[in-house]
Amino acid sequence: MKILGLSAFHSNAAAALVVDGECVAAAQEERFSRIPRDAAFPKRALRHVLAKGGVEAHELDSVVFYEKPLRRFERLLYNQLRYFPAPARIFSRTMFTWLGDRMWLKNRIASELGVDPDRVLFTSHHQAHAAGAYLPSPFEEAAVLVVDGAGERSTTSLSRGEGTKLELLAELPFPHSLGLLYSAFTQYLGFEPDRDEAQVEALAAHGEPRHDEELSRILEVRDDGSFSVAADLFRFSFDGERTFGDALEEVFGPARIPGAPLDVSAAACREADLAASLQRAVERALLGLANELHRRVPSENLCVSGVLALNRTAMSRLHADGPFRNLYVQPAADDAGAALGAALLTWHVENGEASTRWRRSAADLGPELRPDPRDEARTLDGTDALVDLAARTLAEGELVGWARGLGGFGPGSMGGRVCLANPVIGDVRDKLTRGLAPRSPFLPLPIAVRAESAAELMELPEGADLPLAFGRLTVQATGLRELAPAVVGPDGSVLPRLVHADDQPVLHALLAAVERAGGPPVLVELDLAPRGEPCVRGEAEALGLFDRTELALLVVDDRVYERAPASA
Amino acid sequence: MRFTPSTWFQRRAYRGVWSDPARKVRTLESFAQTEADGGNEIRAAVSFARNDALKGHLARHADDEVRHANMFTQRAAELRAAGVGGPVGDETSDRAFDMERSRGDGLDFHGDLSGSPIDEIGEIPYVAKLHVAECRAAELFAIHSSLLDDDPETKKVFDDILVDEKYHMGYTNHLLREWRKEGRASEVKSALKSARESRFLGAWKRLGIRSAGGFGRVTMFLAYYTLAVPFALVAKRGRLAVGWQDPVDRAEPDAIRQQY
Ligand SMILES: [Fe+2]
Ligand SMILES: [Fe+2]
Ligand SMILES: [Fe+2]
Repeated sequence: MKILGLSAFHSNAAAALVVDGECVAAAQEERFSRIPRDAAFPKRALRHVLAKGGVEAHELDSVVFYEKPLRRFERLLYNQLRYFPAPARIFSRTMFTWLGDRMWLKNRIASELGVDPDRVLFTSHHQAHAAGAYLPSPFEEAAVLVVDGAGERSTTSLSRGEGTKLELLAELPFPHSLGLLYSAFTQYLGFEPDRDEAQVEALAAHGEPRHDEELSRILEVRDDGSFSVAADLFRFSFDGERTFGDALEEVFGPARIPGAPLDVSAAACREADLAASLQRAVERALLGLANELHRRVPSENLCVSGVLALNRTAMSRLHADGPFRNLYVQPAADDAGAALGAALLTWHVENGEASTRWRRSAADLGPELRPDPRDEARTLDGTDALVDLAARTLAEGELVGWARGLGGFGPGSMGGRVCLANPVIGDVRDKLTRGLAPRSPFLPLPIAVRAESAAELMELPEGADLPLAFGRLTVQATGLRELAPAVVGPDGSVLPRLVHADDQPVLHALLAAVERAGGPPVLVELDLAPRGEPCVRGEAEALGLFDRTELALLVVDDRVYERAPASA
Repeated sequence: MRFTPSTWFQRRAYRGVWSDPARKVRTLESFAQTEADGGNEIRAAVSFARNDALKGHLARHADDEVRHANMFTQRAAELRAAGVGGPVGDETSDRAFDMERSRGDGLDFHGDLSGSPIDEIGEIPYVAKLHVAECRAAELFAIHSSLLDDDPETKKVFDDILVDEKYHMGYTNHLLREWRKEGRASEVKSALKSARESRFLGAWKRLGIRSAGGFGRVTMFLAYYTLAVPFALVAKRGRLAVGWQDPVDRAEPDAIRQQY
């Protein structure tokens, strides 16, 4: 049975192909269109996953969309009319898009793929997210928490997963949303909402939560774990425009102008303090949710998805201070993972309890690399020679582009399309800024580390092996503080991705070889991406980047490209 | 060639291109570039095609396009050698070229392939795109040839190329028909539709949608202040729910067939 899951129109559109219960391919549209978190209908991603799975569109048994379109339309209409007569422009835009296009989604999907409209199915937004969090997790039963922007009507949901069954227990309605709150503040702080939330998270580490009191009025957490957002300070129905209201500026002063200088080293940086207060308030709300969820589902295991699950600091706090022992975070926690969830859920709904579950591991999904070798490519004798060359280059402090295997399904490439750097030679941050792409000075440098050697370098939490392998948690540095201070944040935290020999043998061998060559036990691992774009799609883009940047070596599958010496 | 009102307009539009020697040379060189780009793009597609028949056709097609590029380059070089069009980089000839260039879609016809590799858009949409582009190319080349009665050598270049274009139209059409026969008619139909939209209608269609969009939005704007008023009043009086709600999703398996 062949099922194609799709998500689109909100953020990070994606396609996932499930054949007989196994996810054989999944990819995000952004990697093809080169628009970060592209929300357009995932035409190219879906062609790619079908081709990879060797499935023709007409052979699909079902195509499942991750949302109930009419339910969302109803919510949009109702909420926009509440503001009557204010948003006439937005209302007409919404009506135009919906009446002209989105209402007919079923037929559009059917004609796009050439399948019978009866094969087009719809899960709800939260079902899809919850399924994406629970079904691929390693647990036989778990409590499931979805903390998102907004689905059709709800923003947050609690579920129970048992075997192949998933039961939605309770939901919180729009506009009470942690995702929307975080995005509105992201915009208020001068960043791009729905894209730069990680910048706000990073900013928070540099600030003091001096606005706790205001924030606890804006985000009120109740005893039953539910929360409400002071919606009159925001304009959540004005999606795509300004989503914070004038009233928010009355509380915190004028919004930061995008691009205005930001001095995080100042004694009191207003933006950093605000980000810190927001981060803390959101973590408080998450803990409230987790406690309520644990009361309803007294399990040891927690699965999380929804945009807030992309927030690594919050996930770490949830794991450290929450009531669950074991944690699984769907790395593609935004709507991309919901495409996967929708397809897996459909498989289990159609096949009942006897069906077997597919489990996700690191580096198992994402687009295939598009080969496009140049004449000067050199193919080395086996991976040992490849690892050796890259390790020597890194030990000397040079940058290495590394594009091997799949491109990852989630926010980054999980080691598939990365720029690696040695954090202990010279000023690595400066080298990356000059040699790869400019980067906000307050953003931490994520690292790759061999799973076996991580415990000596940082305080590893227990019961979160997969989130650590996906690089979805922050942890406190121990030995690493002295060894590689450049990768340690102002609060002593690091962003590690634990590399296992089973998942990524060559990258694992490279990390070991760098250490043998006298280098550090960790490497900085940034996305191999042109500025403002997602990770490279194929060899051609990687080579374009190689031409424009200071990478000393580019590894593409088994081919290497070396920088010609300046004298030659 | 068959003359229609559209070809009449196009002949008028392109007459100036071929009667001005500087523009003629630069246009031939630009065609050479377009053909070469198209050829490379198609060559790259060969290794990604999964259908053997398609692979063979694409390989031959790619060779043809590269040969066309060389034919255009060579003809342009002959004209330059004969003192037509001035030296490369000459101001008048550059300006003439840029004027032509700014018309965009009118003269180029293979540019649309770049950015839509076969492995990303799929074989049917790719072949549909090729088919539409080749039909358009054949039509344009016939027009160009008909305007070159005073330059038989250049005319011959177009006429020779036209023979290949017929083959390109033919094999793409054949493959699409095979797919139709295999029960994939709706895929072929939608691929052709979207290829046509992105090709010919290009700017005009976008403009059309934009004005239609404007009209639709004005209607919605008016509706907002009239029809929507009673609903708005209801919505404004309704209380927004707060706190935990029972989920609306039903557990029955058929729930996934509903859009609501
Ligand atoms: Fe979502
Ligand atoms: Fe051609
Ligand atoms: Fe052609």
